[in-house]
Amino acid sequence: MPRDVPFLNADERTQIAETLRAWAASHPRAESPLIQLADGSELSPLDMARAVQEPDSPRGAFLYRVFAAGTIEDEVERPETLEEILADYRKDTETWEGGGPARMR
Amino acid sequence: MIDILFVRPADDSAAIQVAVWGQAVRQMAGGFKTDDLSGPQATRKSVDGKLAAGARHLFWFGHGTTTDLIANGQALVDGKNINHLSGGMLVAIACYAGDVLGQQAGVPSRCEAFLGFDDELGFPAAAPLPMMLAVTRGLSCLFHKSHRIGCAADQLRKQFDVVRLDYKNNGVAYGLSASDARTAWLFAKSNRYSVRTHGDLSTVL
Repeated sequence: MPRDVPFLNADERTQIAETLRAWAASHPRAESPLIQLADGSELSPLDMARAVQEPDSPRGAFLYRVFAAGTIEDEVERPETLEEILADYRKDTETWEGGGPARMR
Repeated sequence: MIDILFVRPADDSAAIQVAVWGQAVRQMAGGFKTDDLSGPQATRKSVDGKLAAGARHLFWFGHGTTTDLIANGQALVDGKNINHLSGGMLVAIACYAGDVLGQQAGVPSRCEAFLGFDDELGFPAAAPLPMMLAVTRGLSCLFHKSHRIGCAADQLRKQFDVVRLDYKNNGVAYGLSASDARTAWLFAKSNRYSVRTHGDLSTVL
């Protein structure tokens, strides 16, 4: 089933898991659905953080494929590293942990 | 005989959203004879009945697995009745069906071509509209320009590219934080790279 996406090594997976754990812990709507999936399920920030703690679970494996797809290089925009992608999560985490504005619906 | 059978079960909140996308696509099909099984009308019996009466193409907007298109836990379209299409295409805006079910297109089969996804199809709960536009605009060439299903797949990919840039650049306008906009960007890119086609890519409506 898994489609071809770039390989994520153990260190990269750990980075994703740790970043999402901290992000979900500080997210102002941590338990609200952030993503809806056409398999009928929903993903809150906490769901995402929990899923990537179990990389062999179907949902965890899927989320790692999503992050891996994010690093695919194409001509649409400047390629971004996993570090750059995760920086957006870390920046919001710092803002929310510091009691900064939560620009959320 | 009808040209296109639309099936939009809307059996939970995500499927309700995707069913709306199907309604938008159906509105582009004015030049075709269509039928629409939506909400509780979408059952295995009703789908089989419509296919037996004759339907050239089937457009599905709802849930999927690798082998079935499902509603309320029941397979409404699978390897058994996909072969009852009258020589047209199956378009599945659903998860996973491009993996196994879609590969039955054209092997040989009365389903000549398939367009769908081989992984989860996801969209941001707070801002699904751009993803809907990707799907409707991606499929529009089938209806407005009589293009081939292979072209529609390319257009669908391009529209997911447009959407991912939209989420990235305009996330705040959608009420998303930087990280939530990045999540939407990730799913748009994931959707783009899971678009799959099978069978005869020259098939037209």
